[in-house]
Amino acid sequence: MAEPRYMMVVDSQRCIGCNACVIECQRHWEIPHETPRLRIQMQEQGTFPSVFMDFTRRSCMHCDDAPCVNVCPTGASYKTDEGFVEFDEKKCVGCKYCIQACPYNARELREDKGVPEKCTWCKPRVDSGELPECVTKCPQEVLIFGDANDPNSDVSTAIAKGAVPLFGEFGTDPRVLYIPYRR
Amino acid sequence: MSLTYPIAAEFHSHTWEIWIAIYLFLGGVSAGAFVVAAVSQLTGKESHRGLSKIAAFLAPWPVMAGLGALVIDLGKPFSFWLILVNYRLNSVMSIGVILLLVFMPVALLYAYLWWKQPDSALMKPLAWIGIICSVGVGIYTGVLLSSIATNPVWGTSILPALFLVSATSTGVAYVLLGSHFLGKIDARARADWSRIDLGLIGVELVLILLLIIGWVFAPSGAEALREVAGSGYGALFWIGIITLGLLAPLAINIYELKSGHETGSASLALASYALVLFGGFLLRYVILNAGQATNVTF
Repeated sequence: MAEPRYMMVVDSQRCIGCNACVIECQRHWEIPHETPRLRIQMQEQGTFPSVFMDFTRRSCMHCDDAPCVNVCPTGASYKTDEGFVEFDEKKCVGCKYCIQACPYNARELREDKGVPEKCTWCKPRVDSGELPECVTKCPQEVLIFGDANDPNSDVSTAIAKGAVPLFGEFGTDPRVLYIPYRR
Repeated sequence: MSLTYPIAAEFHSHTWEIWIAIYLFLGGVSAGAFVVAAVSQLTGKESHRGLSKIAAFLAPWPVMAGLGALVIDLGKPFSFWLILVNYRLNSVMSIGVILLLVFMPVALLYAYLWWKQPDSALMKPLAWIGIICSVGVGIYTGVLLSSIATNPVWGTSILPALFLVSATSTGVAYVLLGSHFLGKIDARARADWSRIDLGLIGVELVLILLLIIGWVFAPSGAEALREVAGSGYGALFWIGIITLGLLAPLAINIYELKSGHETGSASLALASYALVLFGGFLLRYVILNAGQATNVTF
């Protein structure tokens, strides 16, 4: 069987901004409140009276051409064969170059450790055949995670619905795609 | 207590503190000072020997202090050695570490030879190796930022060129300022380097003009212009960098050369060196912070 090509699709159309994914991520990985690995960006769109709220997941895009990996001087940020952008805090000196380089601002310094932790797509869980925490706790099925090499997977179906990268002009080949909000 | 969740715009991207500006500045000063020492020696002019020797003694120290500043800014300052044992050649920072690890021993050995064996056959090759390293260090301090191509302020190749020229100019100012306190140097050597500095300042002004022209036409250039030359750091940029850091030393330099250096006022010249150093630091400070300010918004 071919190697899995993990991808995530965010169906912004379905998101209600409940932040259950954010809370679950922080609870499971015991992350300080101030520096979550995942945020839901809330933006008011349109002009009154025709206004609506737009919710966007902001987190690591696990880019195939990841700027944080390219600038890291020690190899603490690296790309695995399955496509995860991983982070080894033992190798990190806290130079913060990755924070500057990530155009999605997905890296942030965790003050207690002095290192910029990041979303791991819950690699240990995925390795044992489970889904990332944020995916399992979403009540709206906004997040779809899976193997894009399998044409019958949910994520392949979702990509076929017209999922696009967020800020594709950055040119980093992100592995998280978005189905944009349409009214 | 209200339960609020930080939205993405609140990501703390402003993470490189003033220490990094100090590091970029001092790295450039050392590189520039070494160029002054080596070029003065390589000209073979007797009048430049004293200046070359003083420059060689002055060159190694700023970059060492700068590395200290870099370590202070690290999230794990006591693990700084990790960067010395792990290398990734696709990382500009890693290449910079290698450059500095070559530059510093070369600069130290060069100063030692000037002191102990000025007639050593090693002097000439060391001078050339050091010049190459110095140019590398000067460029590196700019590429460290310009390699982040998605940043509206940093993502331009003009930046390394500007930092390289500014590094040389601040190096000249540092050497001429230091030589005033460390020993008498030949007035002709001082006049020569003042003339060179005049040219460097002129080139810097042109490069800054090109930078601004680039931002006028770049897709996200409006943001860069606002942060550098507008409401962001505009006051520091126009008054600190352009007026005090470049135009004022330029004017003093021209006045001094016209009136003849031997008769020129020493305090006026010293003020011009200090202003060049001040402007050079401010240039790094403003570019660094303006770039980080554009990171915050999406």
